[in-house]
Amino acid sequence: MITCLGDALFPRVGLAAVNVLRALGVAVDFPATQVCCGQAAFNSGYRAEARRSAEAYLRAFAASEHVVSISGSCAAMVCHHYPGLFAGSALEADAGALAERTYEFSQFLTDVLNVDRLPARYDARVTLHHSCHTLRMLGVKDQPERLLGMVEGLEYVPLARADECCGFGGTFALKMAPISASLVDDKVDAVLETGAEVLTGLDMSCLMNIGGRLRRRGARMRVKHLAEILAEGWQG
Amino acid sequence: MEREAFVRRISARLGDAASRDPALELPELPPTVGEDEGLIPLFTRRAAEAGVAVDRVETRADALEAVAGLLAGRGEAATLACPEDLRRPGLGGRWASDPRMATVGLSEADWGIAVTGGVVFRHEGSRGRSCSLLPATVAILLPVSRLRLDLAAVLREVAGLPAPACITFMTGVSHSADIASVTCRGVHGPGEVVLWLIDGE
Amino acid sequence: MTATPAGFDALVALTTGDEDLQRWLHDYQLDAKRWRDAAMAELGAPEAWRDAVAAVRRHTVAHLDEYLVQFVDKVQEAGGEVFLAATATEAREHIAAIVRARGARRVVKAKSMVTAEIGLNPALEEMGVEVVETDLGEYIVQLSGEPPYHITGPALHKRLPEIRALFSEVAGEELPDDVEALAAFARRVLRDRFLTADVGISGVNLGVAATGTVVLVTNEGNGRMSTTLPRTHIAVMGIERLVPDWPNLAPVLTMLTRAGTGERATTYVSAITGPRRSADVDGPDELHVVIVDNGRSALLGTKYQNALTCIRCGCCADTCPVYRTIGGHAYQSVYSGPIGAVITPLLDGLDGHAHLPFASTLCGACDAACPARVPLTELLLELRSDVAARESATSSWGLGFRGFAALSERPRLWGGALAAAGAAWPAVARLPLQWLRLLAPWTGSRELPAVAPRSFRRIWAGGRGGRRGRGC
Repeated sequence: MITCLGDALFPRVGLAAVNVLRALGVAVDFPATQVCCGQAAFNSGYRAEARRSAEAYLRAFAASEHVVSISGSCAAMVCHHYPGLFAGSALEADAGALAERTYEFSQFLTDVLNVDRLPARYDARVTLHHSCHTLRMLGVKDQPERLLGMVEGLEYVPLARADECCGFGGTFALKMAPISASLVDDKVDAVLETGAEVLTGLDMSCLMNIGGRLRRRGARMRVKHLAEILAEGWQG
Repeated sequence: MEREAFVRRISARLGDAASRDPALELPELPPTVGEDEGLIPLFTRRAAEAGVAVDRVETRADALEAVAGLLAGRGEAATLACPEDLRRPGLGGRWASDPRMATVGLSEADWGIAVTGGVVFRHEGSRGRSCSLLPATVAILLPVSRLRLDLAAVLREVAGLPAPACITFMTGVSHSADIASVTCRGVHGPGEVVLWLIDGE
Repeated sequence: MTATPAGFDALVALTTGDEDLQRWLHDYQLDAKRWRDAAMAELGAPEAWRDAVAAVRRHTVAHLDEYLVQFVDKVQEAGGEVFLAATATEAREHIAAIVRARGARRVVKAKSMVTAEIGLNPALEEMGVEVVETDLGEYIVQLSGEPPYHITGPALHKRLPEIRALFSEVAGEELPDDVEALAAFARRVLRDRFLTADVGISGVNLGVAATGTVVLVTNEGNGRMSTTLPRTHIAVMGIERLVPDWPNLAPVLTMLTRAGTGERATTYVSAITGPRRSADVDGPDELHVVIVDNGRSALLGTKYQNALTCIRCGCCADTCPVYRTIGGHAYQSVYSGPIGAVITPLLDGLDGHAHLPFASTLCGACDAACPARVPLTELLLELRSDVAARESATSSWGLGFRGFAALSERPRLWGGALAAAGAAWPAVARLPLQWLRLLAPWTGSRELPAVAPRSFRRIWAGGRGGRRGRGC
């Protein structure tokens, strides 16, 4: 699951994820009929519109054994909201089935592939942002931390107040901009406090938000999706 | 609004009783303290954490003597308010006619709750509310035999008795953090609470 | 989404522009979390306790008519009087009538959000009655003429110098600059009010249906004072604030304080059943219980029913990133924080409040903390769909989402759009984008991400992905 944002803005993240999965022996396909999970429409209250995008997703991934998403929030949309979105409809069973086999990237590596070591080296001090949807709706917390711990040379510095929202919230960032700006500033303060060289995470929407504010504040910190760190650091 | 109409509005919304949730089944809640944690040490510790000065004595007479000592230590003019049935010669005889005026208020608790360090008063007849509410210092007698583990244990017993006009559950000392998030004590209720655990009768 | 009302924007700006207040609120939340986490951890299995509270409250609300009837019967059996108020007006007028009939000049109030909801204080004051809020936080905002800032901490936003100034004005002299002295002053003033008040009015934290008992929870003792000293006690409660019986009270009361203030128990819990009995040495001569509907019953049997299981502990506001950024007043309601964003439009209608469900990032922190498992995020999403339904035809967002839905069903068209955007981006990026109204909310504080020159699907189609060289 490359996601609409990933497709348009962050193709390198999708490519990194594909490469890491292949290096781990997974046969990876990209069903090209996928466009968007419908999260933005759903969160804005436009359920009929969200259902249309979601139906297209159900069709796109119908033949996929596992669906691995580079966005925790998109995986959460499928896993947490699709069953309710299609409840009582003809697609109820399909939605439930897709929810069962959809995973966020780090979750797939640790919980399905049972990765316990990685041939990767990345010499940098790295901090991690746990996105809210990924943390609370998918229950993914130590999976990315464990993976970072397997990378040689990587110094992991935990983020203070890690469970605090970065203020993105989808269209919230535009609709409630002053609040969003204040929250992302708080998050950037915490990120800078770590002294890390790289900020990583599981959700490009959050990283785009925090990264955008970091750049505006003139910080030189690099922002990379976890998949990019693993791909760039891969040895052999 | 008239009762029938008021209730009917609610019933209409909820639909008929058959289609609603089944009867309430409370899940068994796991214990919150270890089995080897004795009630007395737990209560003493938790009450102290809540700001209560706890002492343990063997008999009721010992406790009353201690109360008299407390009163004496508060000066010549100090008075004591307590329910009729607690008045004993041993208490020094400086009764306050009005709990509002008393230096110290004495009450006997009906139960103690170990998990919170709190006590429970069933107020009826002469066992009024004022003695544990109005004076700045409150003294409490609590027989050890009345200690229970937690609120649930007490409420099960409360449920077996007719409900008096008021039951007070008191844990620690009156406090507030409403002034600039700084905690201060004795805002409206008593700022000092002293408790005697009594082993025997 | 409906545009935010100017009042909301101004109130938000007031808080976000005040660095001191921002730090204050943030520190408050971090402290509250520490206390709450410790109190919950002590339970050993906090999730089981939350399940218990949710079970009790959902069951009670699902059988609310039965429990209400039982509760009313029992209050009356115990010698109390009950008034059932369908609307705020009915409640207000009835309470005013009692106060008038008693010839009361002075009323002391223990904290009650529902009395603020029905606009009680102004109505009594208009009658020439002195109304004194006795909860220290409520007293402070009564003096400053402000609405409450937080469900359990009405004066949360007030710093020491402001409180000192307010109390000094009452004192008629400059009071010392320390908390103890100010508290002592308040104690003196309010004790006098307690002792001379004709009527005490309180809220009800929980009602016990099996016995007709009203339960009040305070740390200060003002709840006990207000309901013991005056001759008349009026207890005001929302219809939904019941538990079935004494045993089921235990988990709910326990979690109310552990989640709400991080305490094992509040200092005082008063369980009041009827007025004093004839043999009782103290207590009020009469008890009136006023039970208020005011829009609550309309939620029963709807997707919003579980909003009524809230026990008003306030911990949702304590976890909410939006609350700490905008402050309690920005909700423009008696109820603030996530529960405020949910029930304000539900009780008062969407007009004027339609923006509140959108004042959330849906981070889920409130869901994770709520002791009653009120599904706050789900309720906010339902409200958003109601708002969207209202405005869909005319809203540009509706248009946009419909267009995007169509695009998402046409992957080749989507691919083409990406290619066009990728090609156009270098030129577009050079323009001063701030003037583009759509993006200004972003670019005001953040750099824009770039549109990739080649989309993922284009790269994939060109060679199945993969990269030579370093890494994989």
